[in-house]
Amino acid sequence: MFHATLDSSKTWKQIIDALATLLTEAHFIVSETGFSLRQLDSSKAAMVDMTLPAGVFQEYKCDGEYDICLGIDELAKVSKRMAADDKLEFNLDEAEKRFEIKMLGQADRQFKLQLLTPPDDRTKKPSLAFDVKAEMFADAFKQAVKDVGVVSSHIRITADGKSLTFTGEGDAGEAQVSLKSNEESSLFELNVKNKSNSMYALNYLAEISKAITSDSIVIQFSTNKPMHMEFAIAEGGRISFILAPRVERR
Amino acid sequence: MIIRGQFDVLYERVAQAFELVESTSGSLAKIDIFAELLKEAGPEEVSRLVALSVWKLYPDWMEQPEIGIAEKMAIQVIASAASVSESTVEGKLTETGDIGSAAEALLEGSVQSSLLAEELTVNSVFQTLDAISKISGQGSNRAKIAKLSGLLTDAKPIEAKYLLRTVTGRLRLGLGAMSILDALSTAFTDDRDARPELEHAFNVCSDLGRVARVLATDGLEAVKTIKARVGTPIRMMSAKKLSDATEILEKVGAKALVEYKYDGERVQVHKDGEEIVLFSRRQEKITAQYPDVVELVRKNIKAETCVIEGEIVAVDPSTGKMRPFQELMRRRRKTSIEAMSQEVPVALFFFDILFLNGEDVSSISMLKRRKLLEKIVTSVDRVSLTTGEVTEDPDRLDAIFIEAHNSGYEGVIAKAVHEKSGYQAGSRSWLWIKLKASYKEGMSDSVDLVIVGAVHGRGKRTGLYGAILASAYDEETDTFPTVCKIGTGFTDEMLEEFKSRLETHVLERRNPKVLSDVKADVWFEPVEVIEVLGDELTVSPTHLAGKDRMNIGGLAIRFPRFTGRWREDKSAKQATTVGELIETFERQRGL
Repeated sequence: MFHATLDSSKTWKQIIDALATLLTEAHFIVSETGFSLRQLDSSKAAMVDMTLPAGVFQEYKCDGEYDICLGIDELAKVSKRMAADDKLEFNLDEAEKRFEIKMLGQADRQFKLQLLTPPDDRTKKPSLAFDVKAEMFADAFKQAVKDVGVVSSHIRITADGKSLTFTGEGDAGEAQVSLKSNEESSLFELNVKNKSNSMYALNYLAEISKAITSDSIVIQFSTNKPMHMEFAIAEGGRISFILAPRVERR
Repeated sequence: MIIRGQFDVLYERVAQAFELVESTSGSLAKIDIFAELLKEAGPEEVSRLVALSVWKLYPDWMEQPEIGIAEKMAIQVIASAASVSESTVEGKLTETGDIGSAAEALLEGSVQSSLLAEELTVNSVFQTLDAISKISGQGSNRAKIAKLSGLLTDAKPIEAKYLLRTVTGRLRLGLGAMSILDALSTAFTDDRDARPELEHAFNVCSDLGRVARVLATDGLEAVKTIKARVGTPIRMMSAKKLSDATEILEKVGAKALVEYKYDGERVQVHKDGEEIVLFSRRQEKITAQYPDVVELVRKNIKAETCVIEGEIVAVDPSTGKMRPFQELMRRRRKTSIEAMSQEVPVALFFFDILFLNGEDVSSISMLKRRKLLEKIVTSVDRVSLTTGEVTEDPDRLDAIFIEAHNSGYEGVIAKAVHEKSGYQAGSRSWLWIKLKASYKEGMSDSVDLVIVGAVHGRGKRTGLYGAILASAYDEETDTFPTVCKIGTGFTDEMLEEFKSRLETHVLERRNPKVLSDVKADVWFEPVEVIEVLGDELTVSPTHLAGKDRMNIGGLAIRFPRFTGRWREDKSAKQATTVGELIETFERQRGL
């Protein structure tokens, strides 16, 4: 059996919005330790990796491991119906193959969503080592993505010992956003093992940055390797996005 | 004997072979290149390779969804995979004129990489395209674009080129179905001699992929055991045309069964107990369109299982008189079939039987087949056999033609009745010959042409099409070369109908399968087939039909006129072929 409650409908909405940036189906794995999800988007260029430990929830009971696969559109529609002060309750009806979401507020409302067939394979996390690790205000990252987006459809991120630079160029011109690592900067940590620079598609970054709900974000990357972006959600939960770079064919 | 190991042919290899086939002229050389590719593939892959080469994942009659990605969506896919704007893709497309080359060029630069890069293989490409074709419902466009750009993410530029051409139906290898059978024969029996057996199997099972799979798995002997099955359409036999009664009788072997030719829709009825399926000439299931025909068959055909062929003809509900083909075609466009079966009732005239109570009877002679047919058809008001009689006399043949013509029939067909007058599935043979009106010179009979382009109208025709560019089907190269431009003799209704029907098929640029030296203002996807009358065939400096087969130039139709008849029962590939035009031309010159 599976049962959980969550006091904040806002957290749930944020989670669903984050997943909706890349996925059309959400494949949760629930176990005694909590919720987890790891999926590639259909073009295999990006991955979302999420863990919500049992402690995020007020009540949490799960005896075993279950695949809960649901349509994102349906989840999003249901989460739109949640009032800000609703408390949520989740249950799994194994016999009927339904995932129940109850909203407890001024009225008690209940939705039962049809479970989809989970994929045959679980997505493995690519093993990655990074040369650059940077922590910054989420807003600074979002602004940089928007700034470069004015002229370009992709962003080149460059890191040396002192700064992290976002650049882009397109038919219209060029853009550059530079974050220096110092006391006043919105970049509060920068670790560079090797100078790195790599290019990523703006459309992905724009979607992903919309999903960031925390104050700060940690990004990690290496030259021409995937970029890892991680932020916290609720107490002890985290969501990370991994995005493959754009590379030169010749 | 070739040793075959574990197969997973890389798609890159396929793309390279396609490129070579395309750039090679001469069908034999093309066949050999394609055969080399087939040799490298495993049994299941062979059928998938064939599917990818004819860009049809399944035969039409299986009613599976097809890939069919519109150019607009293809542009979005490339834009997403190459991370460029859609206008960049459009620019490249205008520059190269080909969606595949645009993808190839744009993906040569910097591209989105994948977190799980995989090499594309025939199997992975087929499976992904199959999955994409089955995506439906809300948000399906977005899902299709994402999956396709995922495929492109793993594709090398040359692979991207052929993937894009495949999904948009722009692949032009110049290999018709018969050339593919030749290549299969070459690959698996070392020469092209097995082609007749393969062709026969294809004609009775209507599934190129199945022939390929059986041949690759179990060899030629197994292919020979592919038999017609109730429920699977058999490719229809068709008739040649001649205008001289004496010559006709000579060709069919002195004696002929002369049948009236009905102005209706040809149908192949498959009955398996209570299960009744109707196939059109283009092998589409038309069962849903004709619930009344199903009912008539159920009541009046006394056979447990059978495959029979006949003509569905529209009749006047009050007088029972036959009405023209166009009336029948109105049914295709109406949504309420119930109402239409009242408004346009039909009668059935059967003329052949191919399968009866578990037995293939297609190879027995014509008159014996007709006897079998007589036994199982209960003749009633709306159901009967075609009118026919056996004659050896040319004068009598002419007389029957005149009787038929005067009573509103299209004409007559003379059919061979000798020992070897079996049903020849899928072929147009001298066993069946349609008599053309002999009182006119030259090309007195109509041809069915594919509309490929148009020029804008002026003056009174502003906003409509002023002239229509039409093509025949080149069965050897799988292309549509033009044969005439039709610009006169249109009624206002015809012009309106051209506009409304063709509008949905407008293309940004000419489909590479359409061959034309003539300029058009608008190009269309080659799908709509019309009936055209002309005075004669002439050698043309501008039109391209048969140009590569004759050393004098292409063929054109002189003084072409649209009869007003839309051949909705025919697919573009069932239009008049270049081969038929050449035959008519040679006959016309007395060769």
